[in-house]
Amino acid sequence: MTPSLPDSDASVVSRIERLEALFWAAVNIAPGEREKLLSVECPDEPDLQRELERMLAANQRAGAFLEIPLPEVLESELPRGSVARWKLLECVGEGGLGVVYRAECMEDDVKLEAAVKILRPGLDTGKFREKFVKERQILAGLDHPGIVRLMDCGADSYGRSFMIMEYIRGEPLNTYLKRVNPVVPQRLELFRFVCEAVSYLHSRLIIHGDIKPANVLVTPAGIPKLVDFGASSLLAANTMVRGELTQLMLTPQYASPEQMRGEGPSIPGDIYSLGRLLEEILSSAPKRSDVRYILERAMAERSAERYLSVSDLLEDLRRLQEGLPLRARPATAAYVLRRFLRRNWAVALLTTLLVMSLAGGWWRAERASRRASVAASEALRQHQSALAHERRALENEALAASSAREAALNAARLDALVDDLINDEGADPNIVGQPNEVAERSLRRAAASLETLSGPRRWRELSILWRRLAMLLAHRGEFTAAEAPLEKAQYAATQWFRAQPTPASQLNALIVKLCQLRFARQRGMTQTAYRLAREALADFRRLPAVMQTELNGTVWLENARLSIARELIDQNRPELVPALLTEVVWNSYSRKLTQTRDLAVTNLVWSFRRLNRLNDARHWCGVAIEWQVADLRMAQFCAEPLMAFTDRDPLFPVMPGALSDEGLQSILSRINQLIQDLHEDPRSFPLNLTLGRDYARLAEHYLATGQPDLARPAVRKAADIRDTLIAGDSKSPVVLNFKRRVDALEHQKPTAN
Amino acid sequence: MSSQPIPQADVENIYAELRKLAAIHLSRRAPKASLQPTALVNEAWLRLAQHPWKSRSHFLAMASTAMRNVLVDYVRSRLAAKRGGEWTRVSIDGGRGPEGMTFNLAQVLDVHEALQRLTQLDARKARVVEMRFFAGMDFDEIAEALNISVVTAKRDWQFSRAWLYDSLTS
Repeated sequence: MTPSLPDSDASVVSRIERLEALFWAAVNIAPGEREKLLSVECPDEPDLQRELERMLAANQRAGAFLEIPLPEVLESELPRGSVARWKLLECVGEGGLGVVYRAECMEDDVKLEAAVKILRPGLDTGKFREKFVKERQILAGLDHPGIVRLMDCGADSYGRSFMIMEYIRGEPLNTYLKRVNPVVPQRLELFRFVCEAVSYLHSRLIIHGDIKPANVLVTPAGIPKLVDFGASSLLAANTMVRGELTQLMLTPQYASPEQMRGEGPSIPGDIYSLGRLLEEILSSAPKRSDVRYILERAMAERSAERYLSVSDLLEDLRRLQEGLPLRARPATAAYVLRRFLRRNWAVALLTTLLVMSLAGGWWRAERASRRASVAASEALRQHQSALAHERRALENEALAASSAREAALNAARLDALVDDLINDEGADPNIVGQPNEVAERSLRRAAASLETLSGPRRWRELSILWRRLAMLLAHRGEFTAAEAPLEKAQYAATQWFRAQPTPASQLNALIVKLCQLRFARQRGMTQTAYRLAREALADFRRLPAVMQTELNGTVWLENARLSIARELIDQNRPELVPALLTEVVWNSYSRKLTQTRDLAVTNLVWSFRRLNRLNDARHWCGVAIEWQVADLRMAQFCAEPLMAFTDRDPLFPVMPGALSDEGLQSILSRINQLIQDLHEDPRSFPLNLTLGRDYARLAEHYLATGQPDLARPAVRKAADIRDTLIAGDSKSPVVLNFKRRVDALEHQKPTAN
Repeated sequence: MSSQPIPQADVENIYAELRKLAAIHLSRRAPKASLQPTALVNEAWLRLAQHPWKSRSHFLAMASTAMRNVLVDYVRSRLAAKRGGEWTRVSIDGGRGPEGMTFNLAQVLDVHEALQRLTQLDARKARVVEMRFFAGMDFDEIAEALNISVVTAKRDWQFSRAWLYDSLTS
């Protein structure tokens, strides 16, 4: 027989089930009846009775408790409130991961207006937060009339990350176009403004990554401004594959095909989006064939077929605006032209950057870069005809020469003229391609046979051959053996230049000088190297523009710039260094000379730091981190400017001794990261503690390696953090542990001396 | 099924999926773009349709746990961020109930913990609260997900709410 389950059988029916049964029995009856019910159902269980009574009361009082789902509660908190001292007025945009509000605040009786961007609730963690912080870092370093300005940033007491930006009283580009319906020239002008801003970004190695009409706000004065840098990134060193995060945030209509495939933001990607933008800007206008051509080039399916730079696009745009024929398609242009274009993108950007930084004016910079482009095109044309002329001359010469060997030699010489200019780091690809001894023998034989020639031509051939021999020997590390040929090369170069002061002889003399510079540096003759570098750069500036373009980014020339920079640094004259080094960074970046690039960027950070241009220092630190510049000094250089933002007492000495300890480097980079995080969130307890521990570890490392001078500031930092923590929470065992550790360090300091 | 523990790996999948969805959802500039959990869950359902979820309700059940994790993490990070500062008062009843109580943000965590205790006593009731409070599902969805009647879902909710209110106030 199966007995029915009695309610009071606690072994079978759980307490909560009984509670529930009683709850539903009691909930709809009068309070007086309830006592009766309880005395019948559970007379001997005062606990259960009490709990039920409490629950019935809770049921009465609970009101709307938990009735609004938590996400909605959290969401609804936001627009009503304020962020830091900014009062949020209205939502003006929702982009990427954040919401943008118009906001105001009072400062000294002046009402300030700004746009405040906040991460959405629930997203202010992890990767999303990292992206947001990155966006702020990118914006912080920018100063351009076509780009929204960052005024302030941080985290409020809710822990919400925010950034305060200039409030642009404008409307999105597409709305503006519909409302104003400007004529085509005005439309093109708007587009040109946007391109200028993007070009400025690219000159700082920043990719916007999400260019579209909604991200271009047009002010009442008709100035377009780029906003929303949520998808932007620093140009990565090699591949630019990034997380799925960016991809998810993209707007398919404007993102380039490769970006949609997940390849991440890139310069060609931005150019594609600009093409899309232009298409939209001109959507109502009939398309002339040259407009269609610009669109095709900007939006080519394969990124290699697009404009190489925004400057290139701007150049065609200018030609379109002025009714000039557009530039030739690279696919049909001559080899030289293609190569010129390939290199020119960096140079053209650089021109813009430098002129901008010198003159400080957008318009002037814009006009100057136009002039530079025109001059460069003109110089290219001249150079092409000069090359053709020279080739013809050499061919004639070769025909006239009796031996076939000489014909071959002459042809090789022509190639050498160009190929010398595209040396990779330390190597001469032309010569390296063949066995060294064979090359050396043939060069010596050729030089010997040339000694019999006469006139200026003889000097030219001799100079080139001796120089090549010297470079070959230098490449093999035989600097002593290279001296004699180099001297001969220099003598011949001087004779040639005297007889024929042409660009070719000028260039030859310069290359010889650059070889001498390399040798001088190799042998530690810094004064000589400095003198040679200065002379070489002066000679370089006298060359035709197109030859300058060819030479820029060669190891030899960039070494000259580095030599001068180094000398200026040694002389403690950092003010001239940034312009020089920016040039080196650009040239070496565009020619993929990694070592030169890293060396330059490291010193660039150093010089900005010395000049107290901390924003710039931070910017290039960011670039270096993105490029993963693996240099210990870099880690230290980066630490300081970042630290200088939290306080002005730099930890690291200006020129720390060479330290080669991976552990140290990891501590330093962790400190970097922590300081950055603390900058976001200055009151964070765990961050402070971690930072304090890292300083303690750093100090311990320095002490253990016998460097008390370096340890001292680290101990001081740790002690400061200890004091802060003790003041806040003196009882916590982790804090007390940390305190003991720092106390010990302080104690240890005098003995370590 | 409803009282079965959900495999951690699945929860993590959905957790990641929901975060992605949030990003997509928010970037669309929908007029009322917000972290609307139901919308997110629906999208997650569509996107994960090729996965071997037994049913929509199976999916919803897992998604709500993921939502809970997302939000508890968020609240924790908010609390951690303003450690030592003024604690924000967040009204968990939306400020509507006449006798509604106003919570510290920290008390969201208390609800979370109390809910873990409730899971020990009655897993289904705790799931109802999770789905409704943390994931914003309506009673029809909850009933379907847990394979119970709507009336039972509502009764579970009312009872659990009183139980939680009591355990948080007494």
